[in-house]
Amino acid sequence: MRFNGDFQINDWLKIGGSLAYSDTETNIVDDYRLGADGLTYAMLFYLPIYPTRYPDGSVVNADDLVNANGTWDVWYGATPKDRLQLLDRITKTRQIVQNIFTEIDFTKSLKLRTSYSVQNNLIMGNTFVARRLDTFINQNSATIGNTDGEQIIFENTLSYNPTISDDHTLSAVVGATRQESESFTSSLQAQDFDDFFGFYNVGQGTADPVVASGFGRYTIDSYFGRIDYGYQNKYLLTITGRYDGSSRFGENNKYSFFPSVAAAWRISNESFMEDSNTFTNLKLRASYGETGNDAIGNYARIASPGVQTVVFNNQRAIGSSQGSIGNDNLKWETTEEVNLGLDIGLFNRVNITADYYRRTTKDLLFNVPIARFTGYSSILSNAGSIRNSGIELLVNSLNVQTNDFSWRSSVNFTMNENEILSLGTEDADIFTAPIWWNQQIFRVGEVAGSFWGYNRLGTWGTDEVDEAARYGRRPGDIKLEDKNNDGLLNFDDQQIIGNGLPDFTMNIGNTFSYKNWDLSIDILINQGNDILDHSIILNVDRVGYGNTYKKFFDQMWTPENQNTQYPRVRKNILKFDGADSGQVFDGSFIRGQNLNLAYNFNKSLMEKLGIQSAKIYMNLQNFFLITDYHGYDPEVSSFGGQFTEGIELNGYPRPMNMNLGFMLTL
Amino acid sequence: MKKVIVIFIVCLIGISCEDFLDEVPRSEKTTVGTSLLDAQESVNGIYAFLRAPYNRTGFAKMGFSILEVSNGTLMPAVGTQDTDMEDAYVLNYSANNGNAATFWNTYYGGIEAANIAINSIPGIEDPDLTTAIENRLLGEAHFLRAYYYFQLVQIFGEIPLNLIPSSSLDDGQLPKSSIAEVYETVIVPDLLIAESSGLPNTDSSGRVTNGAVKSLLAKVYLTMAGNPLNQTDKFAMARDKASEVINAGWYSLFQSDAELTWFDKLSSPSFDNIGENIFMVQYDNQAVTSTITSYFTPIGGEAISPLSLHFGGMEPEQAFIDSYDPLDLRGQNQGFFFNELDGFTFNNSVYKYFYDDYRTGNGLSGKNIPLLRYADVLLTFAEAQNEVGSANGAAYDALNAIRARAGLGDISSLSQAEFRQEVWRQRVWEFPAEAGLTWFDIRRTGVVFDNNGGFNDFVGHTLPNGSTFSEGNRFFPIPQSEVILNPNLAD
Repeated sequence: MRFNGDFQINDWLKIGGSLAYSDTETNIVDDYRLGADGLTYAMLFYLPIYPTRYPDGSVVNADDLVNANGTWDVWYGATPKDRLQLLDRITKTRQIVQNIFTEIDFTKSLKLRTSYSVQNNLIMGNTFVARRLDTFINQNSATIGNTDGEQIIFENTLSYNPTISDDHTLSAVVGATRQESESFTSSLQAQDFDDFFGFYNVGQGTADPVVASGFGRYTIDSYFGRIDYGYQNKYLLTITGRYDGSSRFGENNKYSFFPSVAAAWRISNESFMEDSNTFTNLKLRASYGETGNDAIGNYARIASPGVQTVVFNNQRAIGSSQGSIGNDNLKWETTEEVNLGLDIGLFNRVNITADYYRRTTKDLLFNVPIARFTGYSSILSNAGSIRNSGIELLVNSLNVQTNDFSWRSSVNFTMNENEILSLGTEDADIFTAPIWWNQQIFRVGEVAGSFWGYNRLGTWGTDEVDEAARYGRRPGDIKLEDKNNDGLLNFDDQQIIGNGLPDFTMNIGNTFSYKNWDLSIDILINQGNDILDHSIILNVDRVGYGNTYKKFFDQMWTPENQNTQYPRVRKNILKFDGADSGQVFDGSFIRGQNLNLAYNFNKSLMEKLGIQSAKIYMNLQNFFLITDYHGYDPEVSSFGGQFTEGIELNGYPRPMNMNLGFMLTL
Repeated sequence: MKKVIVIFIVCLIGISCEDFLDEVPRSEKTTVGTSLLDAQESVNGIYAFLRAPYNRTGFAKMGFSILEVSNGTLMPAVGTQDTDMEDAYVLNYSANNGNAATFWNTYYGGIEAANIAINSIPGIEDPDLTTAIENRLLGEAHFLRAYYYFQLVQIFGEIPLNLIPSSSLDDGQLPKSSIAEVYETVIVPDLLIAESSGLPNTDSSGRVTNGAVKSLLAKVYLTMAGNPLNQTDKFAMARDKASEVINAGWYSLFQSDAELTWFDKLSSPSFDNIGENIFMVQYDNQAVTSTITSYFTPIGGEAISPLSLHFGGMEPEQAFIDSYDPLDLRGQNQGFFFNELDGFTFNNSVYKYFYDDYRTGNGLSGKNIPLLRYADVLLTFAEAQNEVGSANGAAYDALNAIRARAGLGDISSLSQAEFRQEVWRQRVWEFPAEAGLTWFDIRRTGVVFDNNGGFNDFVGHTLPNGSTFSEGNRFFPIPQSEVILNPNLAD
């Protein structure tokens, strides 16, 4: 819902405001995890021959699959169906955005605009885990969580647009912005109550409730200016400067200055090009600019103790310990971008935009690992620089245009290279572990977050019994490369085994119009990105008996098929070795991003009914996917945060969406 | 126009920009060290790091298992799927062992928490923080830091000494210190400070007591007298400290009565922090629950617990069960182990943490973990006395107290060597599945019980599973991830 109002009070004063309200509700199915265990894991691993209900209608419990002697061949946890039905995780978000502004015209060319906007977000996240779903302990739980967020932006801009002469155009803006964001969270968890109540009556919990609250606040103070100058609409120059301050940085580093300059030459406006029928637009651009990033925790620079819960006399007591090491030297992460571009317009039919860019990010804000014997695992630091460079090419064309029919195309091609230029003070490698092992490396000269692990040679053969035994392996087990041949598989034998960056991506859009019909199709092509799929440790290399991918099952080691990458079917592996190249797959894909089909009702007919226009439409998102990748979704990333693209552990795929709609404009 | 711009700028900047960007946390403290409460909380926090090695994580993984399955008494149960434990069982002591990393990470976490408390408390100027209170709090902090270092130096050997609060990346580059240095610069001095800090002799709240300090000091001296330091002058000091604890009469061994056997008392949360239990990891059955009972739930014993899944944890080696004297109650059903309860039978499993109330609950437990037990003090005294000169009456009394409770007759008139081995045997039989004690005894004494009454030299001894100890098994290697970050820690 949205309301707008603008009022011109007199010839120099205008005031106005807007109010927008939205309300959304989502139900997340995938978030309840026991270890590596989630809904997608259950769907993949649960043997399809096992029922979810017995013939008499009673429900199959996870523990029914336990053998008579108490062991089990596989731990499934709850059935996929139970995981869907016995977990409610509902998030409601209500957002109100209010804005008021005044505009004062001092002179014809000098204008002051003051705006004040307040955005309120109320988020209620409630979770109910039914008793039967938690098979470790006989207990259910309900959690209600509330977040009250508020963001206030106060902005003043003074703009100056003088009329100088026909040849010269000039405009300038100076301004200042203040931004305050704060959020207050609270949550309450109840346990052990009748499942009947779900999360609707946490007072029913018989165990001690777990309560928590937190508060965070963050402010930004910015001053900025911009000058645009043009000469004969042929030579264009833009100079900007920002002076940004953030409460997230230490006393001496709160503010930083970010300049930029951009110049363009519109060649097509030169006299020698004026008669060209071929080039309807030709423009050469060059720019240099700096931008800042302060995306860290509100108080990350401040050392703060950790909170511990301890027990004395069977009573809870609060304790403190090391929490985070502060770093008062933290400063803005800065990205310098150099851009060269060319805009070409041909025959009023084709527009081409080509760009080369080189973005160098300095003072990267990064959690640098520190040896655990210090009591900490990392210190947030300005720890290095990374360069992204590449080209972007955008071609828009009007291919066919007749009275009844038109066809437009848009192709967007991007190629990006990423390289770490420096790390910390001594350029030493940094390893990170989104899960389980150090499976990512940050090394100067390499792609940030490259995958790190062993090289898989294949599988041990029946004629290699003794050799395999050296590593505690048997024929049919995975054979990893022992690079220094010391009989141990360890860090010294690991290497870079891939990265999640694509070689290129291409977006192809086509729009067709025929009489009252519109059809548009968007296709995304992603080429050359690697996926490190940890799911196959469970599904293929396996712990216990479970379902697997046919693709790998068909290639599995048997005494008759020993020349293979995939181990024999067996109940338990001896141990996990961490990431290896056998878990790295090509994630290239072609995806049908969007398909939109619309029928516009005849305007003349609608006007008779007092309606401006009306259309009926169908929209399909993610409508097809072509890929060799065995998982549900080659674009999935199972771990949040920077640089974790392409690491999968039973990721939840993006859905196919279909919308049917009817739109009326009165 | 100039005027307008000036006004415009003033009205923005006038609201004091300096304050505007000055944000401080309100739901977390930014300073410790201003009040009595800060002092108390900073000491409370140190205790939290005792728990991790005894918490079941992931599926059925428990840090201290690596010590218990590589000494010939226990083996991994099939229900755990803990490959780190299985590696330790076959004596593959890998630098990537996750359970070893649990010890490293949590105990060094406790050390840093203690460093912070020890560093900040003396600077607190709060009249409520009297000298007496301050000394007691510092005493607890020093004891806990000594305990953590004592565990780490026994598990990993040469380790870095982190003694002041860390503040920058450079602090992660400390070199290793020698084993002697760890004992002599931290463990012993810290315990001596704790001993003179005015702690109460006993206290059932679960906090550090003077009794715990003296008991640990006795064990530390006994350990220093053995491998690898072999400071044999420490035997007398171990004897004297243990003797102080015994003569004070603060503790007594649990005995069976009409209601409960002494085994049931050891395993029941109702007897935590009293009687024989000198120092324990504290849990309640609500916010900070104990998982050791569920970890050891017997495979095949669904009928005797509220859990549908039974992990088994670690099960006794048959050879170890068979090594007990047939009369020894500890080796019999519902001694330290059980395979039958109320007519239900199941795999032979650890009974030490199983108690009756657990069967009717929801699976959450408040059972504490014993770290220091009076039986250990008695046997420490007996062993040290025997080494100092010969086993006197008091030494026989201590040893026979352990034997008598186990249903064995008194012994007397042993040679020094016979007495020494009898104490060692009693230790093996008394402490299975308990705080890694047997693993530590093996490193200290240099010998391993052969499950047949005798002892073999450590290197070359073959465990019931066929694995043989080598030099590389004296310690666990420092976790690989630490060595990557700090090459000074490499061998």
